[in-house]
Amino acid sequence: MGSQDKVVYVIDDDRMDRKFAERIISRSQVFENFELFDGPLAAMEFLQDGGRPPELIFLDINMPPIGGFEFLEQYADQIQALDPVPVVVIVSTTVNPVDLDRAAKVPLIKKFLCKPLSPEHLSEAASLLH
Amino acid sequence: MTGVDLAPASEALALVAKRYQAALAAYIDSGDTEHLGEAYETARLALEAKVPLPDFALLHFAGLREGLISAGGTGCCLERAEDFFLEGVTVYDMALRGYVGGMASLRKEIAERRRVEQELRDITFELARQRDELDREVRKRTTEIRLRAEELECTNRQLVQANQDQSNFTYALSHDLKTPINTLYCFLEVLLEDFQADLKPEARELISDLIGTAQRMRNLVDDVLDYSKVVGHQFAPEPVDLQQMVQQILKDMDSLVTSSRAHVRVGALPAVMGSPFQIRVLLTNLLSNALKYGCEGPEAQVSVGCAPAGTEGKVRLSVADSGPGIPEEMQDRIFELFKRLHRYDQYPGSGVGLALCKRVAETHGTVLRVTSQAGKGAAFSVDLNLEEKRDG
Repeated sequence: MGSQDKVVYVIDDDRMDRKFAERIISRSQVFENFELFDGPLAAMEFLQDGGRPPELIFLDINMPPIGGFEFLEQYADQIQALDPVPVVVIVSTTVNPVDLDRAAKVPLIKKFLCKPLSPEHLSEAASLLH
Repeated sequence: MTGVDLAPASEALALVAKRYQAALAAYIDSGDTEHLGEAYETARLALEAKVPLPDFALLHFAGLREGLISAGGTGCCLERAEDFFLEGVTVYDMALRGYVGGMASLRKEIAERRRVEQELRDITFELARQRDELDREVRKRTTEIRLRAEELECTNRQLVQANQDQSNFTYALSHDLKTPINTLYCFLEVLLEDFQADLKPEARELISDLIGTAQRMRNLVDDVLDYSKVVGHQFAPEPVDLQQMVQQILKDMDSLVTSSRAHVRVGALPAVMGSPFQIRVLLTNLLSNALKYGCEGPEAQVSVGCAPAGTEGKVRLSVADSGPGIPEEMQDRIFELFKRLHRYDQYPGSGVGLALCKRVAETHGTVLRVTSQAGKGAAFSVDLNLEEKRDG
């Protein structure tokens, strides 16, 4: 089973970043099923309404009111209950070592990428999926 | 009881009296001066037995009376008795003199002792006073020091907080600036990519220029961020393999090396002690400057090398180019933040690089030097601590 079938969530509050991610993902042919959300709450709503659960999440950090880290903490149980447990990849412009340290302590986070998202980033993320 | 027994032992007195009176009788009788010695001797014994002088006199007169009664008495007899008595009294006389002299010296001694005691009391008092004063002073100073320490601690807390605030501010700013800059950059490229065929050449040129500007803003934010990182960076020195690091940096800036067409020479470089992050920043900036500003065609040369620093345990690392050089009057200015010698379209740059290198040198306890002559290239150098050689 190739990565094309995997469901990918992009959670980013910045409209232009989502737009850019959409362009990169749709052109890459690495993933074909993806959903864009303007925040973690929208993604959770989508799940509750019976949307397909994600196998990969591209997650931004700085998002009001609930940032990427807060989302992973607050919804840890729900995320862990998904089968399979999704791979989380942080996509951020941050270079703050505090964020990098914090990410290293969250087991769900498998990678930390710097914006903007690129086709190479997608291949890296795809290689993390089983 | 007075504590001092002045009464002579009666048997001793009796013995002395008997001996004295016998000797007195013998002397009165014979006039032989040998007996005078006995007067002296018995007086000494009497004195020793604490017989007072009046008692000694009574003892003498008792003896004389005995002699007068038995011998009928003559003028000669009285004279001899007197001589004998005086001989005995001499002992008392000498003793008294001695006593008086003794008393005088004793009094003097006592006075002297009192004086010394008084002096000691004075000194003790003075010492106590000085000690109290010292105590007060110490207490005062201790309080002052404590207040000063509290003040310093407070200042330190504020500085740490200010540092933290500045660091947080820089990171937040960099994030908030980078996000829109990235968007501009990415979508300008999208514009060019997707609509190239529909655009007039002027529009294409404008978009290309804007992409350049967005790139410049991105670099500026990255450089400012690097600067803040170095400013707030605390580190424990660790070994840094310069050879390996320079090779890696040159590999990373391969496109710049190629475009500069410069011949890059790397000499033998040792391992030094420092912050790998900061030394990488230093070398990256110096090398990219050398490649950027030093490029004057295929004969351009950039060299990285080490030489003895003149101080034991240190090495002078230098990056030199064969470019146009830096006029002497400009050599101070190049190390200032955002001060540049060229317009951006002549040589792109943010004006942060050398200020950053200067900070790196400072955090490594050294200074960044430049030696340059107009038209003869420039060389930047820092003295770094060599890696400590382990024994064995």
